[in-house]
Amino acid sequence: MDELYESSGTVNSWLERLGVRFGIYKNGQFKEQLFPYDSIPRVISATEYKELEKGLIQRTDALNQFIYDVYHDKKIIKDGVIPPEFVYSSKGYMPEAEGVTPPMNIYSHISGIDLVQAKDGSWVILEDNLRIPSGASYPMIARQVMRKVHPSIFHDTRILDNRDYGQLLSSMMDYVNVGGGLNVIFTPGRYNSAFFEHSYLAEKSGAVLAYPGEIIVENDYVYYVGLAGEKQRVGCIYRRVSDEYMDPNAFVADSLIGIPNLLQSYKKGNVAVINAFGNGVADDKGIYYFVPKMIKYYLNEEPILHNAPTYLPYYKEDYAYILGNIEKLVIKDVSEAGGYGVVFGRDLDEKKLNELKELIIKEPRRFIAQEVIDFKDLEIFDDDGSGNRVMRKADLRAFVVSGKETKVWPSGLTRFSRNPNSFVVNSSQGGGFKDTWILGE
Amino acid sequence: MKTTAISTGKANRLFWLGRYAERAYLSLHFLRRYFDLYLDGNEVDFKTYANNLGPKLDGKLSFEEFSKLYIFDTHNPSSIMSSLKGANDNAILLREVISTETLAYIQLSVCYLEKLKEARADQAVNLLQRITDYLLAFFGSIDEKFFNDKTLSIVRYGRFIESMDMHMRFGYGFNVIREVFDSLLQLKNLENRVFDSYRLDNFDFMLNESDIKQ
Repeated sequence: MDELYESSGTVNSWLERLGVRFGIYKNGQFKEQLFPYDSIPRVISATEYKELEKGLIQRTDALNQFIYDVYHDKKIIKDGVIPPEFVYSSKGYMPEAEGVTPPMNIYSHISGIDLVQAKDGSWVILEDNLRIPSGASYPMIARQVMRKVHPSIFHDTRILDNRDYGQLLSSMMDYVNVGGGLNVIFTPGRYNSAFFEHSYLAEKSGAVLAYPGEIIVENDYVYYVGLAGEKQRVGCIYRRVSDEYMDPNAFVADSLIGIPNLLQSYKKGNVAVINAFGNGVADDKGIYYFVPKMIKYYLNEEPILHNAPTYLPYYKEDYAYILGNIEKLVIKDVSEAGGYGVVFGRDLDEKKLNELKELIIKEPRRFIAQEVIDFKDLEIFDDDGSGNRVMRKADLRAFVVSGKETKVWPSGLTRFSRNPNSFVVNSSQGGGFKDTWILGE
Repeated sequence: MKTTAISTGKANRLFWLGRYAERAYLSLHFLRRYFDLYLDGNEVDFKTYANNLGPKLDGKLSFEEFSKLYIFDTHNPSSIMSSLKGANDNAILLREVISTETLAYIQLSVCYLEKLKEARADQAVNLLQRITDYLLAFFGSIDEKFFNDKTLSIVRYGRFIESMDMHMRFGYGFNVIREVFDSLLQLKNLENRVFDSYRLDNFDFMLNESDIKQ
């Protein structure tokens, strides 16, 4: 541990040298800053990982089947497993995706599944991110640095290599690519908080990093335009822009960061879009409640990984429980993301609790409630420079890549809260990150 | 499939990456030269350097004032810091083209110059050598790693244009400018298709019409 602490400065110098940053907006101003890195890794044993891997593959496969079903036969709704209002009132449901089958029938090519580990060691799913899950680049580059700084640890311990994520991405992109065209990572630009990731993943996967205005659609085919006006066919777009801004002719009309007529080309099957349009319907916090039911429904299997105990005010019995126990629950607004819209009942005074109750009564579909999980804290080096180790809340974002096969990347982004009293680990709210070491057998 | 195309946006960034990096490199070179003359009590002062790069200054300029304005001031477009930041702003948008390893030399230069703000002005000139080393490593890394001639040519094109500009600002003779220009023409021959639109002949015209005499 001492060795890890003493090398923290060296590791951070390397991260600075390699330009590992993320952007945040504060008071309307864009700032780039280093993503605080803690050298103590999260370590997951081979046995534990095997179980996690099975559970993550199972969950992702069921979610992919669910998205297909929602936009085609709607069997799960017809069979009464999920009430239709949860699907059709979801902000992520996209009527334009009705009847569209993406190349190779894959919707969620890159799934970011957020988990926490309970004190008894069991893993609990917190949420699914099936639109633009971010964060894989940080443990990738941190591993590269740690291997330089601590060669003996990696020589003496069998830690699964995580530096092949670029290869995983490119194989998946090649698999869904239409017409042998270019693989492209489409970024809104430098002032996106995850721009470092966009550029780093492009470098590591060999894809072209394209900016708004560099890609056009002509006669329903997509092209990358070169300096002399030459056009090269694009077969796969890993877009880092939300659905609603991707095509001004189909969605938000004044979007300047989209590709006009892309949806039309996609609908005709002329280009693969990663992740598919309309995936938001499946990672809605309200739909999360139904994922274990989806696993049983589509795969006829018992879920390997469990959700946190969740209540929907939509159901009468849950409604009564939530209103009666609100002070010990965590309430989440289903339309928010990035750690926003999350309220712990215990942090509110009576007046605020009553206001929250009124909101739930008024808009029951807008909220879910969860038991506060007493999850396992992880050690980090204290910010004060003393080298002391302190315990902080942490989660794990696992990345599942679905191409020819569904594969779990043997690593993940462990995010931790730097505030001792907070459960919120998001980088946008001051959280840091650790590498995740999966031990080999 | 690998792309053979470079978008207009990328070409523009490669060009300006070359220009800003060259400007930083040559600014450091001229700075050392002027500092050396200053040590011997020569009449050349830092105001001359400042006026060559602009904006024009009135009155005397002490070395400390000069150092603040022309090395570290991010609001002065002629400072070394501005040139390095300009190079960095373009380089970070080109990570997948130039590679993280190459980009790192520009990042190192910016970070190191930030740290030098704390150093004594006269010591800083000595310590700036490290930035020259980083920039040379950057140029070497680009030459070594770019397998695409077109990409390499655009960066070099930016460098040559900046080099001509800097040498003219500092009053070099026509023979020196001509040498840089000849290198530029060789570049044109290397990648005709890309540079046709720039009408390089205009540069010949520009030089012939200029006041620079051999």
